[in-house]
Amino acid sequence: MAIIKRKVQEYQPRVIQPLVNIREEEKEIILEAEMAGLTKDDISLDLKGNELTLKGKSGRGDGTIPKGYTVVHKERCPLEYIRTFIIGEEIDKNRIDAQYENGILKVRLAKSEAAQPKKVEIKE
Amino acid sequence: MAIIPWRPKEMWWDPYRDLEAIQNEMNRMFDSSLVKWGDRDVGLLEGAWSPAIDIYDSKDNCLVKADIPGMKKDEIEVSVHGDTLIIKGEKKQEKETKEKDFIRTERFYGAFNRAIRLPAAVDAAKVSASYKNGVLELVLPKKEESKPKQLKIDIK
Repeated sequence: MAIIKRKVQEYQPRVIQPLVNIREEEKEIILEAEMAGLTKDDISLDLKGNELTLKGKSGRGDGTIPKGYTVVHKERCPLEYIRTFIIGEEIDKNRIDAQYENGILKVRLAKSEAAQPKKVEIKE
Repeated sequence: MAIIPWRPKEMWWDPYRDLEAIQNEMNRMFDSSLVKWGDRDVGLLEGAWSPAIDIYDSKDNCLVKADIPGMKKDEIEVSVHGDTLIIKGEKKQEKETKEKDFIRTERFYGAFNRAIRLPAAVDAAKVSASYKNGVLELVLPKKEESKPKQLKIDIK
């Protein structure tokens, strides 16, 4: 048991890709990434050209053991999230906003005016 | 001297190579099975998920942390029976979305139910729970009688 406990404490954060759901709506594309146990300030979202990179690293670290406690059982490991998406031409790059709630990062990518369906008027 | 058929040098039997292979296997086993990846640990039950849980122990309290991203506070049900803690819930997909709108779905949905044995009997009435940033945190004060006692023995 002593070996296991030591090993857990020494674990470096494992870098993983967060699981995402992406769905398309009429005026926007919504991306939801599962990143549990972070705070708003631990997450960064960068747009470089057409690459949207989301990163998350828990500041306090899940690997640390709360003061005064000993480990009985441990499954949660310190994680570092990173994932890059290529976004299409139809996204308005100035209108991307993100919200972090209940461990889910929700990114709203608005479609540009040009990409939205237009109605063509028929003249008489 | 026995006659051994000639073989290139790299094919000679090396006892240490086998030992090294065993050691590597052992290391791999410890890395993979003792630290499970919680909800990522799908195999036989494809699509099933259960949250990753940490259990900590101190003199007065037990502390349980569980990663349950994307739920609402009242969708999680926590109950204590003696020294068994049960965390239940169902992660539901938002209703207004239709399947055809999805470009990609990787997240798990569905019900989960985890029962864990706590290191000591706890006082169910004094359990406090919080759900923040997708992490459920439970502080479970131990019952007086299950706290470790120090017996003082006089040496005569």
